[in-house]
Amino acid sequence: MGGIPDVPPVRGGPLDEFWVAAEEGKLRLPRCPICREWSWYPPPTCGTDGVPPVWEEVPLTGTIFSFTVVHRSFLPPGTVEVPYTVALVELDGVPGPRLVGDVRTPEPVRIGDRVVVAFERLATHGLPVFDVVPAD
Amino acid sequence: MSAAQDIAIVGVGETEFVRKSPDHVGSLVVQAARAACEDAGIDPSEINGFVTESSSMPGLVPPDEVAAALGVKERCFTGAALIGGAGVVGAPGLARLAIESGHASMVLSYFGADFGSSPGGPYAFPAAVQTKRSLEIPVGWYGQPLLFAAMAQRYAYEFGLTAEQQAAVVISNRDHASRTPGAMKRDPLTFEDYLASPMIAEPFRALDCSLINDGATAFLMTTRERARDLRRSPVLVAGVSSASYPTTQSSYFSQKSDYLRTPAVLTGESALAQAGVRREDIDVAEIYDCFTISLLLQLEDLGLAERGHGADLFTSGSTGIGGSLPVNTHGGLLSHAYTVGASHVVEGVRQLRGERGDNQVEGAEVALVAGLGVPDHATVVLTVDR
Repeated sequence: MGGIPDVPPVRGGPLDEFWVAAEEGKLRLPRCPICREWSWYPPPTCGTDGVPPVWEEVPLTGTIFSFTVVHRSFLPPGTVEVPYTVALVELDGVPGPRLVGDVRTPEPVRIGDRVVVAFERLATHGLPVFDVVPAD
Repeated sequence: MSAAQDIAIVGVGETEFVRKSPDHVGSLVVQAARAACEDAGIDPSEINGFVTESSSMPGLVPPDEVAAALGVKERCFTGAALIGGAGVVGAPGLARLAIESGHASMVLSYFGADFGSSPGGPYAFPAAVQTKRSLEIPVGWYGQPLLFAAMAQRYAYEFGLTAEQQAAVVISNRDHASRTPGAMKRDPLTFEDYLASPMIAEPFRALDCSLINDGATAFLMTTRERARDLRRSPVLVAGVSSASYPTTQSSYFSQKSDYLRTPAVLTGESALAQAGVRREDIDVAEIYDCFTISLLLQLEDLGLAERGHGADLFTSGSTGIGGSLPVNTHGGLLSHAYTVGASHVVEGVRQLRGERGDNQVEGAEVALVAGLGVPDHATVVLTVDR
């Protein structure tokens, strides 16, 4: 339902790998090379093993955990058309992290809906977005 | 309860609450502090300890500035408690440590709000966080109403949550505010009024969201012994507990595994045990209500409602003045004002003093006050001096 925000992410820093991957049309998330736990949002080093995470490619499919349809934007004026739908998505085979992103397909969404991650080309960056997969 | 460890709240003060105040927030805090001193019957120069929450007061309204404006002679203790509402409501815990250990004898806690007049209002603070700027603002996961709305959506999925139930929370708070001098919103509401309120982030309408305003609230704490010599009946801090969910503020809203739990699970149990108070002894509950869902989640986590049934208290009328558990008897953040829980403490005190006129809970002796400041929480149990 509705728009996709166009607000450039602040680049550089420890989270930049997410946007580097998005430019390649991929999702990569940080994972401890020792305990293999995913950490999102990542601390600089694993809370258990004390080592920095390694970014690994993850599947582009998942399930909506929760969402809200936003009618009053708190973003800078002119950067999104309301209403827009922002969702928390659990990716297949990646226990723990929930990806926060916008739903691009226009139909109303429900918790439990299946989604695929696509990449929307914006002025300054490629933005991962969710397309709901119609139930059979 | 050991008498030696008890402290009491002896003075409370509030400014007028308005959308935008012509006064600087620092002046508002000083006004509220002076009102609290007047209420207690002490000279402000007697204050020698300060406790605030830690997210905005130390920078926005620093204790040294407040102390100077109040003519404080000795500032022996200054402490910053947890974040936002958790720090405001948990302040008596830090004050008790200072008083017990002899570092201070008269401790002021305050919160000053400039949300109405400052650019960005309550949304300016999270904008500075790295994960927000890098990951969340670009997808529009920004603005507290959205973050709590997604919780409400998940709650609806797991337990059910209807517009009628959300409205019952809003209407109950407003009903209390209608009999509360100083509350910002005092016109009673109907379900139709609720439905007419503009949608912000589904399922929240504007009426599900905290007010945004300027104003300040302050309260004073000292030993029980001293309290007995002062102007008002002492209100004892019988139990106070603070706890944090072991995650960052950003992660709390999207990543934590038990998405709908608050640290009220920990603080409620602990504060009640300290106070030696059972849940059925609570006469009035003042619970942090930045959004309707936050109030429901805390009531459940505190053990005051069954899981998934927080709204039943409101739809059944139990939260009214004559009900089994009057809740937010001043109107809360939804209808009274947004001073991040400080006025919840003040209302608990006023109820136990019997000062609330036609919104008085008859014979109130035990008040529970809870404050949320993600990822932190605090609960304080107040009692009359028996």
